[in-house]
Amino acid sequence: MTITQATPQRAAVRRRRQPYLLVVLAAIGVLFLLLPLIGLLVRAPWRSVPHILAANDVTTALRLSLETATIATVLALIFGVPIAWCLARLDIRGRAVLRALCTLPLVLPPVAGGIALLLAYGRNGVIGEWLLRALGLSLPFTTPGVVVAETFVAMPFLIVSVEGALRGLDARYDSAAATLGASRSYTFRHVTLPMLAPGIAAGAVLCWARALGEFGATITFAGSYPGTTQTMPLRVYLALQDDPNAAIVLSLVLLAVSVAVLVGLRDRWLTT
Amino acid sequence: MTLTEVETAMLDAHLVVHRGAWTLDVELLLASGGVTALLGPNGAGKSTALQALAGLHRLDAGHIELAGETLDDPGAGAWVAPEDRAVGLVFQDYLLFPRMSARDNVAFGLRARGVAKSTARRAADEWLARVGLSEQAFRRPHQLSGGQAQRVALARALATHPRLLLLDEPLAALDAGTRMSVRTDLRRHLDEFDGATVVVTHDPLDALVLADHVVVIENGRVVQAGMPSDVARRPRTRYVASLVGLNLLAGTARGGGVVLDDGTALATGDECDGRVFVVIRPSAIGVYAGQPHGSPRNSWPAVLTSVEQQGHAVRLAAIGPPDVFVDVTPEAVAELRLTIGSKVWLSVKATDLVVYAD
Repeated sequence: MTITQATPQRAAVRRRRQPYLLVVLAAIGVLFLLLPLIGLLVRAPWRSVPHILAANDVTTALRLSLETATIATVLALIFGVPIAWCLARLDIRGRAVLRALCTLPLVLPPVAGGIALLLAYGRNGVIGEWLLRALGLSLPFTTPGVVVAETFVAMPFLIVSVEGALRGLDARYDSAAATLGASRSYTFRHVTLPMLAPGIAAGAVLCWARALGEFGATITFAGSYPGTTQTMPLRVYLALQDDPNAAIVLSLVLLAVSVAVLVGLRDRWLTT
Repeated sequence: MTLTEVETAMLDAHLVVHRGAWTLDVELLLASGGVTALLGPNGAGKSTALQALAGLHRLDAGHIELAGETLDDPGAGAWVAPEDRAVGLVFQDYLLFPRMSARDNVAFGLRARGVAKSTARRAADEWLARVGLSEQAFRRPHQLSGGQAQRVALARALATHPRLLLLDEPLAALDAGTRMSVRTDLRRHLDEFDGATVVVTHDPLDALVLADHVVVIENGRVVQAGMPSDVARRPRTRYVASLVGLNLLAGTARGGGVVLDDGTALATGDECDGRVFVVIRPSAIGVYAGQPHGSPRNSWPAVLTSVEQQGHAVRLAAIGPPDVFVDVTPEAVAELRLTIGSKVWLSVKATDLVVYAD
């Protein structure tokens, strides 16, 4: 009697316990992600923040970061959305290879990406040499160079998320538009793009955040010249060498900007 | 086919599509104002035929001619893209563009063809009025009921003035309650439409109400074609017979009898010779506990394999030979204690058999 009753009870308890393991692991993971942020907030020299901000000319680096990250995001939108559309909708051979190549910067260490950019667009680079001779253009160690480095590293984030959103769309809407007399480009502009807007917005935010934080490719390809190529992450790293408190405060500024943008966009775009 | 028939044909199509070992091979000839229903089970090739007509699937052979213009002819290397065809398609789940109002959905085709915004909107408003949805013009698709969405989809397809209208299972996405009224409505709009219409459906009632010609497709081939009433009365395949609720048996007629393909013999009223179909209404078959005596001239033993309530009648599936469906009253089921496995005798009068040549 006792045995027959105990078995189903124990089974029921065991079934109920299972999620606890997941919750505990998730809690540890959340702590791991949050503790650095808490550390930043706890150890920040709050009293000397105004003084440090004034002394370090934050606005120059911050404005450069915001400007270059925004331009990089716009470039990524102009070229990345069509790339995503081709990857998702065109029946082309070697599509898997093309996708792998386009998203290579996702897995490539940014420093290596910077070296690769130098070899391509540097003064002696494959295209850079021609750019310099024919157009008098030189990208390395200039503000446009920062934009190029950021676009190179961040665009794959946009491509991946927009292609995912495109694959989630019912391709038969394209067929419906075609039977109504719409060309493929008209359909893309008036049917696909509006349905894709949330996916594009999410991809653009990811792309922008990645561009804002870009360090390795930027310092390799564009260097760290105050006013022209020294973005906030470079400024933070430099400050860490001689004034750790300044590095903390500058990191706080970056954190505040990122959170502000995420919160501001979430209400308008990311919840659909 | 006479010359006058060719001249008045709005749609002249011979659709041949290969897909692995499977082949679709269907001929369609429609006059202006004509409504043809493509009836068939799932996987028969109805949707492929529709896609070929719309240009969403290329023909492997054959041809499509609409109002004298060749739309697809692989032999001659001719092909017109879907956006350049005067063909409207209403999808089974309508596929209204979710981010546009009902009005912008209806105006879409005209806008895509370069018509000015104000003109296209005015035309859309007229179409919405015609389908009785003026008040819903500014609603998004998700704010429309199933029946309303169906009417918007129809207005959207008709607004581009197609010469051929294609309807893919137009009522399948609706619940039974709205289906009847939407079907009647659809019939009215099709009557007003001066182009040709092809309706794909697996519901024989759609075909009977909407179409003036029925083409039954099974496994990519036309198995029967004709007036809806003829198809319903004289089915030529088991699929059609089951759709219209009739028993269909095949055999060879000799004198006043038919020897069925399963070997059993039936006495019939008609004098007929050669390959024939025999149709028996399920309600014309009597069920008895023992071998019946008297006037019915055909009787045979059978075992019941299913007993199901259908409306006010009970439908029995009986294994003979011949195998038939039988409709009886619930009282008969109780009286004879009919259940799965029951051994019974079935009988049918010779005059209740409908016999026609294969």
